[in-house]
Amino acid sequence: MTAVNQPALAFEQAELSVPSRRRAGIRRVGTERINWSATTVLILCAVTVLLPLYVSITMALKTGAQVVDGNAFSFPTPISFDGFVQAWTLTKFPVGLAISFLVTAGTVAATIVLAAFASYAIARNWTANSSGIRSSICSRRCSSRSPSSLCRRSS
Amino acid sequence: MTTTTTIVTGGKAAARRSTRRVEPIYYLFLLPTLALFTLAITLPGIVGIFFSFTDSIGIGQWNFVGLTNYIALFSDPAILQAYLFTFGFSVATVIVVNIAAFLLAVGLTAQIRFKKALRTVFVIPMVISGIIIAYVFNFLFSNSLPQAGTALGIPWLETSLLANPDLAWLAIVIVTAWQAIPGTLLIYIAGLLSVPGDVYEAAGLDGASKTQQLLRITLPLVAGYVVINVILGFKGFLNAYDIIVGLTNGGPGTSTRSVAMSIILGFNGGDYAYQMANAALFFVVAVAISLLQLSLTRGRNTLS
Repeated sequence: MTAVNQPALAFEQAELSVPSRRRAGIRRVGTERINWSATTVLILCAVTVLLPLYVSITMALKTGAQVVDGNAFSFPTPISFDGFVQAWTLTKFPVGLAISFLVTAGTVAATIVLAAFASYAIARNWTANSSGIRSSICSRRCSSRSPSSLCRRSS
Repeated sequence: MTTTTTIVTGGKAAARRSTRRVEPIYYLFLLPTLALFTLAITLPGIVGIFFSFTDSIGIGQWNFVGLTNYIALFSDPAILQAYLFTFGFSVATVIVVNIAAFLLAVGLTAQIRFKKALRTVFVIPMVISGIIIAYVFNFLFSNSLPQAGTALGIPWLETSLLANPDLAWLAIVIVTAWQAIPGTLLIYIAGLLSVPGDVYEAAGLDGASKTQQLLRITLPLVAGYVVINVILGFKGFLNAYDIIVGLTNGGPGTSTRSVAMSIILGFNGGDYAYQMANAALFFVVAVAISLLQLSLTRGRNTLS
């Protein structure tokens, strides 16, 4: 979710740095009428994302007999939590969750510490200015707007 | 990591390093990562390549057999088919994912209603495990889609896509794309937001239509992001495994068996050394593709 918000924030900041005479123009563009056709198309696309999720949730609430009738989109009648009870006991869910949690926590902690040390050392001493992927972002950013910290270092 | 070091050793960076002394403490910073990387990736890789020259079955005694495994690889129709399927599937998926994600990103950065809600919906597939997605779609493909096909009277949809040797790959492309689009989409949204708005303003004043703005301004300005998405996506799809296992398990027959699947199946079937040779070959192919893509990227940058 943060990844969605970050670019938006950066964009807002960029707008703020524009001189006030121009900002008025941008605000007028910003209050442009809503593009309803694009909204409709995107909502239809969103259905293709939500439909499998709906199927998986309703399927979890169905009884065994209703699952095998082959109708994926029917609403569960009666709503049964047997599947959840079985999954909880058969897979020893709490144990599995605890193991997953420990592994994840350990991995994230180790990654953050080790990668921070290593990347600091690399950035201070061996910064490449020929890496293909990075320079492709760099050259674009540098040419179109103020150079980012990434670009300044490599130039 | 490996690519960075190889790039750094060339040219300007090497000259700079010889003139400026590196503080010893920085080597200490690098040591833990380097040690972990060596233990977890480099060392197993070398051991695997070593065993590819033997007749080991994964346990017990083994003898050196030289290049026998590699020679057998090139005349094995099953391996050839796995490579063909994997590459065909990867190319198709990369194209589908990038076109769909780019168009969605254009839509999601336009003046639309429910922007936050829609963006949230479109990144949901990213947080679901591939094997779960595959099982849900497995049910849809084998039950709901044939029902819809019968109702609409479309002959090739009346039987399950997954049971059709010629079309099973299509189902895998759809499901893989369903899962891969969100990650690609986020990168494209970031790319589209980095394009300054006044460029469009100027283009609009010059009389460029929306389509022209999309093709002549947006696309060239996010070309770097397209390259990143294609490279990352292609490499990810080459290693396709969990979705294929959940959908078709390599079937019908062996028509959707990917290279990663054949390597893992070989371990269980006592073909350890043979599939190690396969893995080594696959590694070489993947490195070659990466280098090719990197050089293409660099060429593109000097042009633009």
